Amino acid sequence: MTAAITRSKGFINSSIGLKALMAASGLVYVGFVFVHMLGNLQIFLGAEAINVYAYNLHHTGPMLGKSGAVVWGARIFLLLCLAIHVFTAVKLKKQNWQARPQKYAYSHTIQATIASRYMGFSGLLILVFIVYHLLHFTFMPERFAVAYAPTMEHTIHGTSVAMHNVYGMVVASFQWAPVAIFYIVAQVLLALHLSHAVASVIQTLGFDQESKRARVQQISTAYALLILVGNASIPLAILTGLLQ
Amino acid sequence: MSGGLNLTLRVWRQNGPGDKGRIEEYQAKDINPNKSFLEMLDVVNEGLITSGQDPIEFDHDCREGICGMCSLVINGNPHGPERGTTTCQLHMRSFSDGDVITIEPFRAGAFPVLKDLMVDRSAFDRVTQAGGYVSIRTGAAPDAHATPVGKENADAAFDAATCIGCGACVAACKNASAMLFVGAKVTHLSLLPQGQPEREERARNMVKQMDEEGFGNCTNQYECEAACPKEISRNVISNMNGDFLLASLRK
Repeated sequence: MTAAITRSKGFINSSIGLKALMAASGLVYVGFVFVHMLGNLQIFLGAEAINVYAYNLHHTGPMLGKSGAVVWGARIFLLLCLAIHVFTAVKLKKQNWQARPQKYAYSHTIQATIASRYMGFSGLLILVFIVYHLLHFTFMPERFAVAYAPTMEHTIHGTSVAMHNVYGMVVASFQWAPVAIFYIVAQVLLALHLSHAVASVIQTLGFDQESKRARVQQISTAYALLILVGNASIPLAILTGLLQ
Repeated sequence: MSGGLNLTLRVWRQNGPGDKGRIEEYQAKDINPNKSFLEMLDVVNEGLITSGQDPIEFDHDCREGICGMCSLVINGNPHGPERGTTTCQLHMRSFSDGDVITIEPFRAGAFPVLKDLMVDRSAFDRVTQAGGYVSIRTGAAPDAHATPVGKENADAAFDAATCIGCGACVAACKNASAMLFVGAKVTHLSLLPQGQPEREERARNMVKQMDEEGFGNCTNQYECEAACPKEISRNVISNMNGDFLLASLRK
């Protein structure tokens, strides 16, 4: 047991161990943003589709208070991954600063991409966005979202149920331009972060192959663009009055 | 002589490890464009010595691009602006008359400056001593075909083995990470049958030593690969990561 603890400590304190943890926790979010986007895009199917989807999401598994165990399990897992991702980022960054105590008077990069050079910056702003996003739509919509009709009646399996009006909440919020623009900017930063991240996971976890490298970067960039277009389409559609 | 270059050099001067250091300006006059960068510095140093000043200290040895001793960060590029070239093989024809050239030492906490442009790179030796070898009994050399090695592995191992240990990867990395160097050493041996018995131990011990020396972490920008005078591929870093992660899982 103590041997196992010493070993885990050694792994967490090693450069590659930290990077692998960062990659693995980030990979969870690579998957999550896609599923989250698919859920959100149901807003284009109308109020009933997204409201019933949200209702079902929150009522799956044994009930804990207001919400189901499944959604809480997912939240705890995601929060843990976020904590790992931020912890490793801070620790790695600190070591990186210490590794170059004296900067160059004349600095120059040869092939570093913009996305790779601003990973810390995009990551920090995405973190701020996540906190705001959770307060806005998950934990305190009554304080952070623009006023909307809080519940709506929809029919599930033949019975009428009063449920949270997610559609009204999102539409009302994004009709206010500053919020919509903030969300779109956050999605651009997320795309920037993802375009470097997906390809980096392959490199960091030891799966790089020179013959497949160009393809991996293409997939990474395409995935980032897919998430950007999918997510940004919602505030954009509401802001332009396409959805109301 | 016609066609000589007149250059302004902004050179890092530092009297010793404890000195704060500063950039000083020198004029390099009428430099033959066919001289190497180090020969240009020799000319400047001649002038400094005859006028009774301290010459600019810099590391060099073979001047054939193979020993890994020369260094210098020239206008932000380790070994200068040409790809796949060491400073000693960089020629002044790569510059234009009137250029201002900033010359700094390789910057890393793990490479302390000894004097001016000369840094202590013995951290690399300690990383190599931690596992960059194969333990084989001495004796008569075995027949060349006694241990078959696949052509692709032999080529990839050779590519990794071309690392001259100059430290340009560390100098180029914004985090002063040594992963291209350590990756090259790990990959070179892990691709060959002779390297298999110590493969996991090697990855673990070399990475441990690399971390202890205070090198930074990889940010996957691949500036190291671009600056490497031997054009070693970032693939060696991925290989090292794979070996290290497998070794950590198994032990």
